Amino acid sequence: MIKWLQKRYALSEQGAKDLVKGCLACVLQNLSFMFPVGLLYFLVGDLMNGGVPSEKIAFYIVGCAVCIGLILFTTYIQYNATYFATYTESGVRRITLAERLRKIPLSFFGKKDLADLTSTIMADCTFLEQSFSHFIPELAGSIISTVLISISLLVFDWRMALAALWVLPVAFAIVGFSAKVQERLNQKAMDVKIACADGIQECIETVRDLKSNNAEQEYLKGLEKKIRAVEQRSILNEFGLAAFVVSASLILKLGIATVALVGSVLLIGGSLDVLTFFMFLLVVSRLYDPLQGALQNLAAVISTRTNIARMNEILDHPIQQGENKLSNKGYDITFDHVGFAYNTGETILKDVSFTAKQGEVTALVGPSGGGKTTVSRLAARFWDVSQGKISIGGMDISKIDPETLLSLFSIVFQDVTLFDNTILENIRIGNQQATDEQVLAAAKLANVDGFAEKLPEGWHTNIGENGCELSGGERQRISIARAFLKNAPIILLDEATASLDVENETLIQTALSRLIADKTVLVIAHRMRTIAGADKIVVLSQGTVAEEGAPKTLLEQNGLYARMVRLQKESQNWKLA
Amino acid sequence: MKKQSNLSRLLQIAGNHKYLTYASWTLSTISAFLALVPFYYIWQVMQEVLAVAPDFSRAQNLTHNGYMAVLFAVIAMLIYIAGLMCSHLGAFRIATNLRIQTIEHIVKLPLGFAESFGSGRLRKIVNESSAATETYLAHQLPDRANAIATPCGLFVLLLVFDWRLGLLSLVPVVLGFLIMMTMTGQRMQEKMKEYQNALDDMSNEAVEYVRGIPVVKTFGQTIFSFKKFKDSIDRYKVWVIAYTKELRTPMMFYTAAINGVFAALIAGALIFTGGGVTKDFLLDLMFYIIITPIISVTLTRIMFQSENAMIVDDALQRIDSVLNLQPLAEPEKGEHTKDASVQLNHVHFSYDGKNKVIKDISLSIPAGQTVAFVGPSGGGKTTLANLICRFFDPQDGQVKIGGVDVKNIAKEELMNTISFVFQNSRLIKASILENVRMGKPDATREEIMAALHNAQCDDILEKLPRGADTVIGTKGVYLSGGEQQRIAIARVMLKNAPIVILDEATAFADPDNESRVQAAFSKLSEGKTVIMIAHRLSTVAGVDQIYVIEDGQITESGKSRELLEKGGVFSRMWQDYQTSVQWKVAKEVQ
Repeated sequence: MIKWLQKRYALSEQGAKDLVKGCLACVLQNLSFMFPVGLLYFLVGDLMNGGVPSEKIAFYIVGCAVCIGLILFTTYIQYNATYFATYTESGVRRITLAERLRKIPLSFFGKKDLADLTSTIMADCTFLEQSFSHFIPELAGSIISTVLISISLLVFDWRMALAALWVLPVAFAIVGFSAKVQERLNQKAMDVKIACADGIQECIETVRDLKSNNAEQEYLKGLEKKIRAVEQRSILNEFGLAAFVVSASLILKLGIATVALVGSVLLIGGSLDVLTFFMFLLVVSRLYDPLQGALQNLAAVISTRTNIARMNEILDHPIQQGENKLSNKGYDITFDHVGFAYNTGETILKDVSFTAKQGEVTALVGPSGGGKTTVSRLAARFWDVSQGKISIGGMDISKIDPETLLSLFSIVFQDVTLFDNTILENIRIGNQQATDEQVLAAAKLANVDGFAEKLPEGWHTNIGENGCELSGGERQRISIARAFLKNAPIILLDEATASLDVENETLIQTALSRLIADKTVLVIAHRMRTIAGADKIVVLSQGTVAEEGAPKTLLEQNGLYARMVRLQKESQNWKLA
Repeated sequence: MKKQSNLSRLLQIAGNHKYLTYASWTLSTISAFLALVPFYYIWQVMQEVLAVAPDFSRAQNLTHNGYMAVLFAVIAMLIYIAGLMCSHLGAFRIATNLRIQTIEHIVKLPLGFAESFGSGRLRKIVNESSAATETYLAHQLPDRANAIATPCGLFVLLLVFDWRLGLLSLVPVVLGFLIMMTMTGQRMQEKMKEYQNALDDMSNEAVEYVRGIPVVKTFGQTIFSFKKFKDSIDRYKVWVIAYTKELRTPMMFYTAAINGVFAALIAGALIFTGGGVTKDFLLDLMFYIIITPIISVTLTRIMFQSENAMIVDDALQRIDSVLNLQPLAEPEKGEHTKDASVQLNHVHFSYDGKNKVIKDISLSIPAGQTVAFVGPSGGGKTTLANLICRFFDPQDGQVKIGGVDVKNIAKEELMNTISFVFQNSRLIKASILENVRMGKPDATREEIMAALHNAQCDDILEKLPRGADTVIGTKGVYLSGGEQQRIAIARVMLKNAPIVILDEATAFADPDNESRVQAAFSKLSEGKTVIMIAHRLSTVAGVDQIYVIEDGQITESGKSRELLEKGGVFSRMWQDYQTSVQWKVAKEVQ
């Protein structure tokens, strides 16, 4: 059972045990609410016989105290078992998720709405906190305690018990059935909602283009339709769901009434005494309300499934494993008949073979969509290849732990990620052990000092969330500084200087030339002139290596590369006239 | 006070649907009273039972009263549901109107806004903050009406039957209420805020952690960043547990109090029956025993209300952070431009009111001329172009098109006068045809195809499965940045405005695309007033006038040859440019 709970609710072992404890604590609490019924039963019985005998007064006073004491005590237990356990488990869950995210292949992080996904997951955790501290234990608790009470009622008087309890299975059947219908309705509503959210996002992202073409009103009309469609769907959903909830609640209400009816009949028939009749009315008036409350949260319990599914998507995502020991001899990168696709059915790389030698600059060129970026990321094991093999210095990289493997790489991406921290610390990411002097030296090489020293607090200026205060060129310079600081034997440059202005570009290019001495360098460039000095050009087109060789040789071949160089020369000299 | 104003605001947004919301409260209140009626009939049943005991065959009305109890329970339930339906209709409409209102407002705002705010965050505000009001309006308000009405009705009943017992059974209720007040008071509000902050902190850490994983992973430092995130998780955990511990004792006594009414009744029975038991008293006591459990249910319902009111408060605050931003003022009566000239008189501009991005710039571009803005990134080139087409208004000075201040030109006319080709033009998820048609809604297919052809898009159309009718953004249809830009140029060509602003940035385009984009630029510029933001100095050699913009000021202007001869900023940039053009990735010779 613990195992099953763990899997179903994405819990740790301790968490699953605590959930069971929480449910049991809720049962105890619900039962403690029922104890006073016994006292009241005796009281009414005594009163019917003419009054409470004086020797029993003490009994009632003690009874009251005991009952209240029990309520206090069980509430205390329930509170501890649900709240504390849940928040502890929640911490464990968040940390497990974080731990897992750390090990998931880097490819996973290429997805666009990562920040969104993260906040959703965090919100999920919070929602689950509520589910596990309230909804689930309360529901389980009230069901179990209802069953227990029902059994004792049956023993007491089975006819009256049936009159009181027949509503329960019926109401539950309705609710259970509604869960299925609800799921289907939800699916449909989800589609409309996603269309609406996408529309809003698109509108915000393209507002500049829309406005400059006087097309915004037209677009808003379409968007309004999508927003209204959500309203329509929600109404439909709500009414569909309401039909079930209403009938279930109605049926629960009928319970009190049928007890009164059957009781009357039995009384008239003489086979029931007044006290028992009264007791049933008493129990029944307390029986349904907690249950109804729990049922109202059923929707929340059902939707925890969606939250948990989202979480399991991350927890079950395969992680890349491998040895922590490097066994490479030298740093040549070899692609051996590599094939790769992001999704089944498509092909990004068909059959790519080439070697990037240590001490040489190898440039990847080709039309966009040809697979340049993919090749460079495969070399650093952001993904695993679907065919063939990639090796570094003779070591198959698919057998090496990704983080260990990455210690060999300095990478300058097109898009730069920065942290909400000082400039100095953002560069220090490159090498945590570096002294301030080393960081500053790397920063100077990348010309970061050009802007850092102008900032209000210089190197210690906080740059905001993801460095939102900085321009594209400034961000790129920080990223290059990191690479300088890391100084790894293999360097991947993906359009490293694209978003710099001329002045900075010149300075950084000089520095880059210094960085790449004696290393294995893999460059992706759109500007042909940048790579004219490379030792080797690999032209990627349609997922294969179309041409390969020294720039000069390729120019003589007069193929794809030669054409690209020619075109770029033309555009280089293009003038708007 | 605050909640009241929130509510009235929401109702105002509801339009006519606010009557549905009112109806839901009324119905909910009615149903609360009706729900008490079955207890009256149960009382009648008991009365009759006690009256005729032990000869129960004399009881005539037992079944009748039983049926009546059922009937009223059902009616109360149905009315309650009807109320909920009304409240839902109202709530959904409010969310819809909020969404529409906010997105329409966003569209009217100065353009840089969406970028500085972050499109994801904006979407959340429009979409999710609106949705956040739903639960509050649809469930909580009618429930609150119900929760207030029930005790009122109950109170009356309790005092009518036996006021002494009634008052006694209210004692634990009042006690529970007082305990609840200590829990939901001022201090609680503060604590809730603290809680929300701790949660936000953790959430921000999470986003930063996940976003940073690719980087820290490549630098082998996941342990370090993981530790930071873990710390924030632990901090939150410690805070929450400490907080719940603090609430434990009041919660225990509250629960005991509202479930402790039985003790009051027993006490009452012991006290008041000292002089013997009357049948009436027994009957009343039994009635009270049956009806009082409702109290704990209702009170618990009120308990969990404040939290959600705060969610609404928070959502409205977020929405207001957008709605309170001022859109650009539209002229009441638009003036018409005389020609395609552009003039700037002592223009000053700042995004945040502190750092001036444009400082006292004046320039004049005669109709039909081609000019270029050059200069370092962050110098203000793009801002200047944005001011010309009134994406923002300058704080000081004037921008004139065709002799008329842009503030006095109707937005629609202004946009028909100026075309802007952005660095990263965005297409919408529609067919290419529709995307281009945006430039001129009444264009024929032939006109659109001609524009596409002129914008060098033929190769794009060829490779797409359904040519110009292919919907962009659907499965497998992906256009590169350069391709998207060419389609955007086709759109601008179709629009055929007399002034064109080009943001030339082809850094990411591959050579094929780049040369095509340039050819499209050339076609587009024929016979127009052209303002070009040039990133490559070679591009500007032939233009009529070059403005070097540095630090928000024009530091030099003139023809390229004049500027080179002058030996100033431009000629230095030119030299830098030549060096960088010749740079090659290669190891430094040592």
